[in-house]
Amino acid sequence: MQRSWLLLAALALPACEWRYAPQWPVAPDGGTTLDSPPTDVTDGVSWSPDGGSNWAPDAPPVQRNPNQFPPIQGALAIGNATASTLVVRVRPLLATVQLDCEQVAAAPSQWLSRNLFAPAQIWQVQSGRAFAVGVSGSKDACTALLVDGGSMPMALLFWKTGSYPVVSMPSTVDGGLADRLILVQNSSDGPHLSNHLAVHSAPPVQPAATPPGCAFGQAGDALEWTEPLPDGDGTVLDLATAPNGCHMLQWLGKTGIHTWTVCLPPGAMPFEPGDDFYASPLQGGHNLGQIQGVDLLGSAGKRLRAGRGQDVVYFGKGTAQIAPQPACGVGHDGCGSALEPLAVQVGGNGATATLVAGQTAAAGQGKLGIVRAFDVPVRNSACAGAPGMGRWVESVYTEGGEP
Amino acid sequence: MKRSAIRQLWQARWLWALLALGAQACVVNPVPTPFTSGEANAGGGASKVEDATSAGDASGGADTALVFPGGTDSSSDASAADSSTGADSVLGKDSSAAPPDSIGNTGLSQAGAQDFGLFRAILEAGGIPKPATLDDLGFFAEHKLDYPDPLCGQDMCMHALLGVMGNMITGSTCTLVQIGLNTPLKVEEQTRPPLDLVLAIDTSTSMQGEPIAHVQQGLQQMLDQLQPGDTVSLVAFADAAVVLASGVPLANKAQVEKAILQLKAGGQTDLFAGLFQAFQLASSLHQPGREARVVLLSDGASTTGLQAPAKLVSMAASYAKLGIGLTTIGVGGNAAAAVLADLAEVGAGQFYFLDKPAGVKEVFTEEVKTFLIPVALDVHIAVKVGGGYVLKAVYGTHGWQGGSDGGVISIPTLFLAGRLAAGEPLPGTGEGRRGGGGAILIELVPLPGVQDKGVTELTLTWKHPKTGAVATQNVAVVGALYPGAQIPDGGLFSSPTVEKGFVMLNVLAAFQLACALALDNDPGAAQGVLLALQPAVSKWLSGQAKPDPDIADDMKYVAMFIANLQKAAQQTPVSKPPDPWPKD
Repeated sequence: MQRSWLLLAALALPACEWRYAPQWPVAPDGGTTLDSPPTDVTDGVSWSPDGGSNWAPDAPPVQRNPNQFPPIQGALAIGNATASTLVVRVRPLLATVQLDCEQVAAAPSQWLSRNLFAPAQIWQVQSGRAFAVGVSGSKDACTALLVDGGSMPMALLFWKTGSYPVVSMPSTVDGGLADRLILVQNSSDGPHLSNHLAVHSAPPVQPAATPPGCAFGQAGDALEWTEPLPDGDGTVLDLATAPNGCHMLQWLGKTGIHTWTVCLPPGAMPFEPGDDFYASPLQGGHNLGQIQGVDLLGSAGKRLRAGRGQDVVYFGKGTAQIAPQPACGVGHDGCGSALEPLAVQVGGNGATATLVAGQTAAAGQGKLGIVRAFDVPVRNSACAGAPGMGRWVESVYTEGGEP
Repeated sequence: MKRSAIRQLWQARWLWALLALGAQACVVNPVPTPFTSGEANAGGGASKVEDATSAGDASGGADTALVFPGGTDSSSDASAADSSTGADSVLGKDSSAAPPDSIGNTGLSQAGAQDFGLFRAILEAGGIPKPATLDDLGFFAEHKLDYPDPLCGQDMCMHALLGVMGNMITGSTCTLVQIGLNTPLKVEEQTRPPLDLVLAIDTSTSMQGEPIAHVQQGLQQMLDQLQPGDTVSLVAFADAAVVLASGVPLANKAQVEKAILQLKAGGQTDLFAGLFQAFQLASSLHQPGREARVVLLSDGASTTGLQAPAKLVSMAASYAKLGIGLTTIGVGGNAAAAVLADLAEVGAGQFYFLDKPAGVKEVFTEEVKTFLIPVALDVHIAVKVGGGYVLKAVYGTHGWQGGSDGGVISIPTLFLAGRLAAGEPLPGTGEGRRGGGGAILIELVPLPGVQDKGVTELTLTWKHPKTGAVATQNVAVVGALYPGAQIPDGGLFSSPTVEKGFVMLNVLAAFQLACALALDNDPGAAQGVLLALQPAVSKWLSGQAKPDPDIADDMKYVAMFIANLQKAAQQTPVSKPPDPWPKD
């Protein structure tokens, strides 16, 4: 028997199946613990615990008069087209998440990851009823929700806000606006969401790994420094260095002795105690893109430019083109932010070199190193050190010092 | 993989129907079921056959063969890649012989979290922990698992035990391989190279009063545990890092004590500066033939200076490569526990969470005996899964990399674990559960119909911290039954140890599931998980001749968790579509 076939079959086996089917999976309306299933006296359909193995045959949902129920306001509605009362969990994006809606819309299941979503709001939905999502008319350009419930597998809802302005809809599965209604339907595999333009596959539990060679730089490699940056004339008094490239630089300036902590790629610091320098903030990158950082012009031909932002640091004559690395797709950091690896093509003196994160090449009168480079279409600002939205390049240009 | 695997299982709710069909009764038999022998299959080139007479026979070094009798393949081979280790002398040794009286049986603990103190502290405060607060490495480390005597002839021995049983939450069948590591070394007999110890102590405002007093007392008592050739350095950090003592020989104890009394709390927390300065000191003192270690104690997250946790971690990792280890201690609920645990793990050290400042003394007087003594470095366990199984998850390590066919468990450092037996707490404290050593558990899915009893082949390689010699061991695990075969009621366990490991994993899984469900605003379902677990574990405990103190203590927290969830359930909103219009 083919192992690959067996492996597929094994995925359907329970193994140490820890999942537990609670008798009554949710707290009831009103917040008291149930000892027995509640009965919906309104329409005569009793609560059926959503345990997965107790789905009723596909009976038609209870027919209701839409006018019997008040309308709901929202962008879309999720309706229960099964014969049982359902528990539906709706997870919104965390408040700390920002999206580039245009980019994410191309492949929402790929760009979004599960840890971007907040704890669920629970809906108890009787057969034939519907509830609204996108209720507030998001001020954002798009909305994303993770939806599951009981034995219903998780699905992603994603839509651009302009596609579905908030409207008034019936709170039943009958008589509604067809393009606004997403139904929970039964099939042989159990309940699932009906086809709809806003319904997508849930992001994988484990985001796909970035292909080999598609480096964008890890958080531990990042260019970091403390504020304030050195400014004006100074002399290096002391320099302590850790093997990971972090330095504590004690320097004497016009206003006294200062300590500046900076983390560069290991071996990139050209200065040493006794060196004089003139420090100035970076005014822009090589292509005049927005960038923050410092330029330390030293005596004896030493120089350190360290910058981060939308551009690489200026390195003198030559070109620098920043573009996505081909065939690399998207990676995710530990907080769920989506990162698209970028490459910097450096040209000059008739030669070109393509640099990705962690690589260095001769440029101008010295060396240009790319520390991290990626585009950020999805950002979770809850993580310390999370970069801003859009293009993010960290680079270092050095002259002089030890190789 | 492990946490997400549980999460994935939970989220794939369409499998519930399969679960209902496939679930089996789960009653863990306190008496392991004997296996029959002589049914082995081709092994992995192992050369030493071990005893395989009965399950649960933990005597006489019948370690790897406890469960998987049979024959020529249920075997263990220990050989030395570097002949200087002398470990190949084990070849041909009669493993069933009684161990010499002089041999020890001490557990080994991995670098990283040594407890689940933060999780406990949240429950004790009436709260509901988030899933991230429960680290399987730390949870397992608070469980002492008694392994067979280490008779492999090396300073470290690997045991692989098999358990097949229904789990205690749903009854669904589990196939587990439990990997245990122990050493014949005895804690009290250990000698170590002279130590250059650098203490980095958080003296921010929040440490004022009782916390700093406990730290000072603990540090002073710790001096008694050090040896004459050791040196002590002391770095205090708040708004900045200040060196209070630099490489002071222990012979000049009064100078060290004076520096300890200079610790005064006040200011913000510059964790990076404190750690940076401590590593600089340790690096400057580091000499061949001596050991250098930084111990970092903090009660909060960074509030000033360079605040990127990833940079702290990369710095600790870079110094670990140079042979300078890092042990971390978090005090109180505001400690940056996740960062401190990561630091210790990459820094070849251990992380302790202390919910009360008084616990500092315990760590400085008891744990210091073990966390300064690495037994093995660069430990790798290659896992090859038999043809009749698929690997589903690995628990109890952060160093797993692999897939369904196998992979490698990488552990930077292993230390002596302080507890001597499952029934005893840490010597000297009377209450501690740390120092258990824990286990690594591999969850497998059988492929029914495959006529192959080979379960796994494990290859251990490790580096001796003193000699630098690399040694290897091989263990092949062969089952008594074909994959997916019907198991007897009560399951099959190779020894009581794997049975305890199974119960421990059930408790972990229940805690993790309950945390995840509670986070999803579903405290009712979270309670259901724990309520399903409670009677099964209680039954197991009552069936023990001497109830296991670790599992019994776990159950105290299960009950506490349930009580906290009941309170939360009363406050959980459930939305409903709007009611019908009131009748006119």
